[in-house]
Amino acid sequence: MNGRSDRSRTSQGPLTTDELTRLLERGYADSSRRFFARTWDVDEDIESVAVIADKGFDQKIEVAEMEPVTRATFGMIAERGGRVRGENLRRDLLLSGFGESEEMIRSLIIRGWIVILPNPGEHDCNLDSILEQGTFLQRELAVISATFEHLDKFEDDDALDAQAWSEVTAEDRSATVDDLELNLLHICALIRRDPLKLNKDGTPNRRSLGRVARGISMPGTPGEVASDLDLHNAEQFDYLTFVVSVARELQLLADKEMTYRTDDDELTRFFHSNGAERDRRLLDALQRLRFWNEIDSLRLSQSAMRNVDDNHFSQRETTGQPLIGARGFVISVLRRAQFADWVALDALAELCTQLDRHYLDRTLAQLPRKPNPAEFIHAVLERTLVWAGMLQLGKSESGHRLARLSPRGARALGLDNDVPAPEPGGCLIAQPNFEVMVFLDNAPVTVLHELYRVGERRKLSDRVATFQLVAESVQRGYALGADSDSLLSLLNDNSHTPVPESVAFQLGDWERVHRRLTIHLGGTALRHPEPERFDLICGQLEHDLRESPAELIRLGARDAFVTEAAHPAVQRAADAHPSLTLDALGDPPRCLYFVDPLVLMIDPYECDVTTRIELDRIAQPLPDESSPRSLFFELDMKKIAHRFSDDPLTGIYEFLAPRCEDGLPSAQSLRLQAELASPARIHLESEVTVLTFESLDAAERFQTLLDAPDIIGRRLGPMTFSVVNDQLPLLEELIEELHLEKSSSPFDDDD
Amino acid sequence: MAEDVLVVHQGLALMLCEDAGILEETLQAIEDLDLHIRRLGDRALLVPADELDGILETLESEGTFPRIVGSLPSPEPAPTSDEPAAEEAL
Repeated sequence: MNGRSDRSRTSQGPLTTDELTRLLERGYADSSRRFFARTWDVDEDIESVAVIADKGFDQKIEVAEMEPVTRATFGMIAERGGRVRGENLRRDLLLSGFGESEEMIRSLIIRGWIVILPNPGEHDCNLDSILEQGTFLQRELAVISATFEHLDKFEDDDALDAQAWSEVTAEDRSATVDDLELNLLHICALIRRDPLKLNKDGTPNRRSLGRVARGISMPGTPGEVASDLDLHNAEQFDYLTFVVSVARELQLLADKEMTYRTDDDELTRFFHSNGAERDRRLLDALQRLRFWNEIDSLRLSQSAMRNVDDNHFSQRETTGQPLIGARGFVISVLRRAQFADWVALDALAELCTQLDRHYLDRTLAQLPRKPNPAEFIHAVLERTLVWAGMLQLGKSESGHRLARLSPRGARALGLDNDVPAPEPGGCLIAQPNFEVMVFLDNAPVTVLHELYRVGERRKLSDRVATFQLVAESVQRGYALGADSDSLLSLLNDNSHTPVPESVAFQLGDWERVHRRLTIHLGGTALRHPEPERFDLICGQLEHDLRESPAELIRLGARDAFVTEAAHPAVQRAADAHPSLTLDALGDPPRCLYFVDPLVLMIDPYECDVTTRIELDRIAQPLPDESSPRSLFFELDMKKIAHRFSDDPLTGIYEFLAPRCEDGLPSAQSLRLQAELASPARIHLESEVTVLTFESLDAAERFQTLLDAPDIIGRRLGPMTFSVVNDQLPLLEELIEELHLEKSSSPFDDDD
Repeated sequence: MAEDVLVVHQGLALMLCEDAGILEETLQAIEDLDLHIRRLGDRALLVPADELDGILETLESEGTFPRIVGSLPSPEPAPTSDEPAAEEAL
């Protein structure tokens, strides 16, 4: 029987007279004893009922006359040693293509062929009540010992076989997880060289996608698409969107400024993890797909019009995100189903709806287009999991559509870890023309990852990929962390023949060229104006760094570079001497000192790189006034206008202000305004009469006098007014009329 | 300014060339970029680390793939709302 050996057997076996006696005494309620007596047509006492378990009752099982589903039910119970949990029996019947079997099982219980067993520790198991409530599937079910012996006679022939798909035709060539991984490697390698552009609506730019999709292979199709690649073919465009979305969920691609770029660290981490971990992460990524959804994808391939909203392809529209939970549900059902061989595709879909009838209804009903649960389940099975190579499709001789987990699909679900590893050695041939032919069937994915890092894949036939090693690709690989020794070892370890001498030499030479320029990231630059003292500091640092991977590189008498940021030894040196810490990525230092209008001075040792370079772009050096520790510059308006062409005044303010202690001096600011925009306009006036009140209240009242607008020239402060000279007589009249008292000395500042 | 101050300059990357010729070639390749580069002798260039992306992109487009050593220091995490900034704590 199909899959029989994969199913766990219970250790308790069929129901015997001894066990039934004990259960009738302590497990079953009295009403259940009467149920058995009535069903089996015996007296109601325990002994008369229990003896039936070993002896059997009048009705005999006639296998040949049974309905196939009944026969399969007995077959499955017999296969498990006579006892099975109701839910598992129903599940397996479903997966074997028999559909819903609850009523059939109920009828076998009522007829006494199957016995509901009390739960451990239960004392009043009431069979009538259980049948009425329909909870028998949550219990252990058994056949009696006599029935089991009768069934055992059929064990060796096919009489009790559940529907077995013995004549299955698998699809011509199923997609595999290996194929998807190869596509992921391929597309990430091409995007590394040419970032994938996204349109404003988030859809991959077709021209850009066309460049990075060269050489992709379609699921289930041998070899690369090559010249058949047509991005106006909706299905090809859809599959590429799927691959890109999976890569993004695996974080192999990162979204940066409307482009996808390859994250080489993540790529290395993923493809150097073990197979089980990759399968687990891949399944997790499939479940979490946000920017692609299987419902639209399947509709697309089934629709003659092939018109799906562009949102489906957008890497901005999270059309797949609302389905994450529902996908997780389908995957969890597959995990619980534990099927090891071909099962009916419809049965698999039905199982998903039967295990929790309401979950998918509820979840999918919340979506804008309210997809049908059956449609969604089929989409996950036939599109997401098939394209990923986790599920394989086939057809029975009778025309039933079938599915089974691929070995890596089963491993991803945690069902089976027995996926054979590629046999070591002999998966490639390195040729003198710098071509490397790789036989994919036994090529470890780490080898493929390395070849994609240092080479360009030129061709993919059914199971052979050809890579070309060229100066640019190999040096790019070296820049990503490869090196000639490791590469040569990898090629020799996996090659049928030793790597040709000319290739080995060239790999080394390309590395020499690659190393002609080395960039040290994240280090610390050191400067000191006194070479002799700096020698001492560097000597101490070299001593302190001797057991550290960091090194000190002398760059001259006054300069050095430590190849590690914030190393404790550097901090100790800074603490031990008068020091100044600058950070090129932080706020600029206040290192500009204005000494005259538009003339400033710097100490080059206080100045950061950006400030020092920018000074040359906005000012003229004054060498005659300068010394090694005091460099003078005069701001040059032409240079400033050229440097900050959009808005010179704002540009120069924003450059100077944070670099001056207390900001840009006002005098310099006014002068720059005069030079770069228009001078601040002023008006001078002499012989002005100023009227000041001692209190604010009095000043406010004065301003509201009827004559005030004629008298007041301008309010100069809260309590101070200038007086129009012609109106002095009127003011005198008011002073007299209002009894204002003149003070002989000015008041304090009215602010 | 003290005469013997040790200047510790963080956030810079060092571009170290094999010889003066490579340095000139490198400078020529990136001359169109708006960069702040301090040249030290015949072989070394110091550049703010945040300007490296453009440099690498330009060099790679011309077929030069320099050896990259080390990694940039990760930026310090911003204080959470429960964790006031040092200035506020003072």
